[in-house]
Amino acid sequence: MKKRISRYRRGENRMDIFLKNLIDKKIKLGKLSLTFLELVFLLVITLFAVMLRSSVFSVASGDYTSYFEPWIFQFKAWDSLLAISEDVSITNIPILYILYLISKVQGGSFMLLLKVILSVFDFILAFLAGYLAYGFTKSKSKTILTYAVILVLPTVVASSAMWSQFEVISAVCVLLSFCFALKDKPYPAILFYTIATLFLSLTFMLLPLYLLLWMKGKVQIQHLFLLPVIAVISFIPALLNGRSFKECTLLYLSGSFTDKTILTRNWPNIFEIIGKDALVAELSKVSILLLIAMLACIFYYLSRKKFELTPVLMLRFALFFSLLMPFFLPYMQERSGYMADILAVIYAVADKKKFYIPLTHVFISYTAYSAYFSGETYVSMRVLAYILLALVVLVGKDIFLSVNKEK
Amino acid sequence: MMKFLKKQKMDAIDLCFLAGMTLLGVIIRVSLRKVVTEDWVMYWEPWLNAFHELGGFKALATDFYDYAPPFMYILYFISIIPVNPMTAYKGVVCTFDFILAITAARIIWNITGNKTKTFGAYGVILMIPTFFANSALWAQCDVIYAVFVLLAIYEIVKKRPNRSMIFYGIAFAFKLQTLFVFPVFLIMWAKNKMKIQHFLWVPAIYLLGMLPAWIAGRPFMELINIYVAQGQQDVYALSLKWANIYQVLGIGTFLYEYTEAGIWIILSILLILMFYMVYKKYDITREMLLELMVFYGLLTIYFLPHMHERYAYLADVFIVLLAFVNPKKAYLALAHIIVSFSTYMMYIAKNFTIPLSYYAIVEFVIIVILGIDIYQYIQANEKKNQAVPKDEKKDQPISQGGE
Repeated sequence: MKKRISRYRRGENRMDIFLKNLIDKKIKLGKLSLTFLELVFLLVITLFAVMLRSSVFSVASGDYTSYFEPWIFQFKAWDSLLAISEDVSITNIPILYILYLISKVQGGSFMLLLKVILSVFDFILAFLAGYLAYGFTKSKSKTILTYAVILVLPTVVASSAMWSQFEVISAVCVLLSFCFALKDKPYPAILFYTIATLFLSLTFMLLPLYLLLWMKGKVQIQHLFLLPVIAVISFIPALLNGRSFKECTLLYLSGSFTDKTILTRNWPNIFEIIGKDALVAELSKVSILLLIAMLACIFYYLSRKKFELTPVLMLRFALFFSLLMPFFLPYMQERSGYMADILAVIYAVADKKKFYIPLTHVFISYTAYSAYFSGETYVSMRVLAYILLALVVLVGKDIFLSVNKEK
Repeated sequence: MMKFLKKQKMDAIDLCFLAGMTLLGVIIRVSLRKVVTEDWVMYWEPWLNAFHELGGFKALATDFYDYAPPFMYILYFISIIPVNPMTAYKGVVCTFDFILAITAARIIWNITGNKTKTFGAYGVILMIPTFFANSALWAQCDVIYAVFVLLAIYEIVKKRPNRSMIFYGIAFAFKLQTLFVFPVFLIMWAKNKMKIQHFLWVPAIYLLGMLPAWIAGRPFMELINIYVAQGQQDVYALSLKWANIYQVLGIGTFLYEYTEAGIWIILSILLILMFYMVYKKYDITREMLLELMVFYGLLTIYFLPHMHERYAYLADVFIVLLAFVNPKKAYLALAHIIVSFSTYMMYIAKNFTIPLSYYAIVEFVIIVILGIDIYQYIQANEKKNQAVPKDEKKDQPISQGGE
């Protein structure tokens, strides 16, 4: 009795001690060692991510009802890939292959199946992001947190589970490419980058990064030839089923940018500042030329500098290009910031002082999504454009300082 | 209190200040007592009438009310006293305003030991527009649960976790919004400031609070589900004038989907934050405790759907206290109170000055600043092996309680 009272008075409590010991208990899963807390966290956050996605599965976006659904039914009606010869699709060819495969499934909802497939890629994306975070930080907690954050990032959830869009597949391939590039394996790096561009033409915005890798000797010119080779190989099923080579190439290079009446569709870039309705044809050409000129200046400067392309610097460049390109390219859409959202999170994990970049960018990115969903904006896109410009400048400044520090 | 006053050797200025602020607090509230708001006309007045029409206390057996029973007991008491109901009601809640101010002052005294800050906190709390507007103007009752949450924090500061959870349990018995700051208490447990059994007070007091209404005849399951029923009301917009994320995204867009998604998002965010805060080994100072209360009080209402403008009440209280403990953060209190009161006026006076979406961005920035501060504290405290930083000599870590 005395012992029990003294234990109580000292503040010890069996239940508390048991629970606290349980939290710190190590559990071995093969080579991986996790504490009970970490394991429970991973399981619960994964469950929450599933519930989060399922809560928006019912949304039938305009893109799905206007494009994907008719194409799936077209494939179903033709019951073969021959339907690809019809001029009904204005999207990247590999997406059509996936839609064709979905059309083969009997019973159930096509929309749900598509969203489930895309959501599975969300989890792969989160895993890869965590893997990259571990590479940069060697910290288990940061790895786990990166996985969790990417899983519940609003733009990631909305893109696949709400919107049925394919950005996630492209992003997965970009991260895989990045992983291989960091390991100095140029062939798989270029292979996965090519696959990424096949799913989303906007991924070409990262082409300057691969030019930089070539400039630094991490990638040889013969590796870059993989790009057109893999692209042509991907066209083969479409070519065999009646699609013309010219169309396949045009779709690959320009993707689904069909609306050329306005210089930006809900992405807060330079055209929100200077005007998006006037001189559309002229300004679109000028902006592309301007961007090429900017890249030329950047690469000229970099060619004159001796610096080591460290992993963090490579990540910084990737983020910079994924911010810079959509800012100046015409005809950008709301989802143009998707890649930058992912890279910004990994960047903030690698350099915690840059936490404000993913916070700001994801906020802007999802506001752009909302502009599409609701048809109006509650925050001025012009204001967001200025903020985005500030981000481009800040990341650019970081690169400038890094490159000059690396003498 | 008299002992405290004698011990502090108060001078005439102190007494004048306290008396003056008290008088001003009374005058402000009295000047607003005749304002009749929609909530009074639609809810409190009919409920008070229901007590008369349905047999007094026995009326609690019916389902005319959807607030937690303890609040209804206060209404019943108001219904039987021979005073104008609205005056009596506002008198009760305004009395709680003064209890709030006194409790706030006691917390400041315990943390800072500074008399000026203590009396200043008392006076300022009485004058914060959201507080006197909430009780004297709007005839709301958020001050009641806020007082008990404040008492819960006071008891933690005094290293009495058992009493702390009793007060928290009472707060929860009054209002579901008490849960907004529940993560802080979980962190307290993880940092050995309280024991797991202390949490049992919360359901125990909730059940105790239900008892008289159950005895009066209201079915037990209805009483248990009162908060569930509350959550299913006012779901016509994703935000009911609180400056949160839905003001930026659109309060009517994907109403059903965002309602569910918003809950999963905030649960995920809380899970991530809780994982990080429990994972790291550090001690919590009393200032950090206040900061955590503000942070979670703002964060949860930022992402939860269907938030009313009054739901920032707890954050309003603790951000003012934080400003007194650390004056460098006073600008956060100023910015937040401006936003909070502006949202009040949008409802009460239908006065729109700046779009709520911009206020939402301000709130987002405040949350981020607090988040950074908490993160830096954890990093600094962990690295220094829990040594006390130079400028926090006065604010020691909260050691384990004796209860």
